[in-house]
Amino acid sequence: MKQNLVCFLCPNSCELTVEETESGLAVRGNRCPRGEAFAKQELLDPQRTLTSSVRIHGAEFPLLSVRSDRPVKKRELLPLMQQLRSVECTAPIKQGDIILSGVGETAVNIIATRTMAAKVRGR
Amino acid sequence: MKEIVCDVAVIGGGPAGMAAALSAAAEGAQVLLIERNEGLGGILNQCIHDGFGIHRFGELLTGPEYAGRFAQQVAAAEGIQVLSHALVTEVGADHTVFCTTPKGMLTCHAKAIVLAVGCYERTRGAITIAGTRPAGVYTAGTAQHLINLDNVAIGKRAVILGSGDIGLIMARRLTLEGVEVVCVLEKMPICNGLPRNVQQCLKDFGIPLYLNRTVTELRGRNHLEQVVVCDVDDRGATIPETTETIDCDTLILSVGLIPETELLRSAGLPVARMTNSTPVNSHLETEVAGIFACGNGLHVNDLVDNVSAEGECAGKWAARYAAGERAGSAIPVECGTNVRYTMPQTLLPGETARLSLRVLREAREQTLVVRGDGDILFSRKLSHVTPAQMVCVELPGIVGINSGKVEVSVE
Ligand SMILES: Cc1cc2nc3c(=O)[nH]c(=O)nc-3n(C[C@H](O)[C@H](O)[C@H](O)COP(=O)(O)OP(=O)(O)OC[C@H]3O[C@@H](n4cnc5c(N)ncnc54)[C@H](O)[C@@H]3O)c2cc1C
Ligand code: SF4
Repeated sequence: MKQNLVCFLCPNSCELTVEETESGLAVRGNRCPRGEAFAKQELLDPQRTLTSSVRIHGAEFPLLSVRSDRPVKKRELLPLMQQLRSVECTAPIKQGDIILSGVGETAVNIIATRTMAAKVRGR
Repeated sequence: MKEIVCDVAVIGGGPAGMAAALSAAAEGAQVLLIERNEGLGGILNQCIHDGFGIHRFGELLTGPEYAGRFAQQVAAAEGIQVLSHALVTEVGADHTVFCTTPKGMLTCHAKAIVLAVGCYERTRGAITIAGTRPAGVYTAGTAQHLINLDNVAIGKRAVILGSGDIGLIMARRLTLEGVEVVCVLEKMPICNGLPRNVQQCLKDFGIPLYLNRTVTELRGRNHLEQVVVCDVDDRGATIPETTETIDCDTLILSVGLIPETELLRSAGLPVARMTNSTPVNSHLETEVAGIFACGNGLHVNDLVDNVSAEGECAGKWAARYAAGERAGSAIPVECGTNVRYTMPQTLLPGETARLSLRVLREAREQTLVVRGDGDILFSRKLSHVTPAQMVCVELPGIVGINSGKVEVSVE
């Protein structure tokens, strides 16, 4: 079986082909070794970084952007989103602060991607 | 009216403006960085997905993280004064910058100016769809702002028109938020977004992308209820036999970005048709000496690292201009085979330059060639080019061209 993929680890966007051979998966089209690892991972166990936003109180904006600190399994994206829907936090928050720890199969942390100061009163 | 002076006034606090301010300050200039919003970061603050900064920071960051790193550097730098909540209304050819601030009008007399004002989105008016004008139609960037920053839900079933990156990213975002994305339609025969976005945003979630297909009519009284869609032929004419109606309450338009040119015009600068912006030399200096431009306000970029690199270039040369250095006359760059536009449009002799270009048509196994007086001055192999992906190369210094111009082609 032959599969075509695009490596998205860097802007080169190499077009990869992965073929199953007797000696395992053969990857072509990658301009660097990371592409080979990427293609194998994609076929066996695709992973993605989850990015979203959660509600925040007492800040300039109603939402705080967050991400998983490591990639999660692709099939975990929607269940984790469900979990994030009920999360609320309160300003001030610093970029990198853990909002939710050890969630999902891969036990990732959900961290803040933006610093949000507490709202100045009267503005 | 309050008046202030500075060496370099940078207008716009996105990645282009922050990079420009940092590099100008590194040259020893006193910099005023003017931003109309509360904080720095520009469009990056609403781009909460990851995929930024692989070149600059060596990591895959989200938009807010990329902006945050830059903003920290700006805060730590000496010689940068940030003026937020200040909207620049006019830039004079004499380097005067007029702004409105919460404390009233402010005039800044700068020795040099960097325009880093970003871009705006094409709207439906620009592409004229028939039918009613119901609620539920958003540009992709507006939808992104509403969902990612304002906590406003926008619908239950969406169609996306246009395959630009923001549209693709919004397809994923809406799906994650529980909105059903029926399909993405692209009028052109090729996808406008980056391949990695097609994979991560559409294929991951089984969202179909239909090429050569567009929306011809909107239906719904107060709120959108249906869109009528149909194939288009290679000349852009609709094919009525392929008409279909799709029930949806949301239509997202991702039909293109256009550089913000109001301030360029106020300084009396011409706006080129191809980039929708003004010609610059390899210092990113416009035709008005001492006024520089960079980032999406100069031409629409796909990668933020390129935007930052442009900002750095513009900031550095603006600082040197403020210190009295002047650029000589430049060599025009002409667009040859399969080149839609180049930026810069002129090269300063003997100086290395970053040349960005976009092609007209997709092609494989190509060579980018720069010619002067019929000789090949530079060439670079390109394995795959598409109009959606900007090509960027470092050119060596070019000297001694008798014809006074060079030509760039992709062949
Ligand atoms: C939705 C989306 C997704 C993207 N995804 C990616 C990606 O995955 N990877 C990647 O590398 N790149 C991506 N990009 C591209 C990259 O983020 C942008 O090209 C880049 O952020 C543009 O930077 P800029 O500084 O030119 O403009 P902006 O960030 O738009 O900054 C312009 C600033 O100028 C200010 N301003 C404008 N006019 C005035 C005025 N008159 N007075 C005062 N201030 C003013 C604005 O408020 C704004 O802060 C994406 C872009 C978008 C829109
Ligand atoms: S294979 Fe290497 S060079 Fe190619 S896109 Fe992936 S990371 Fe980049």
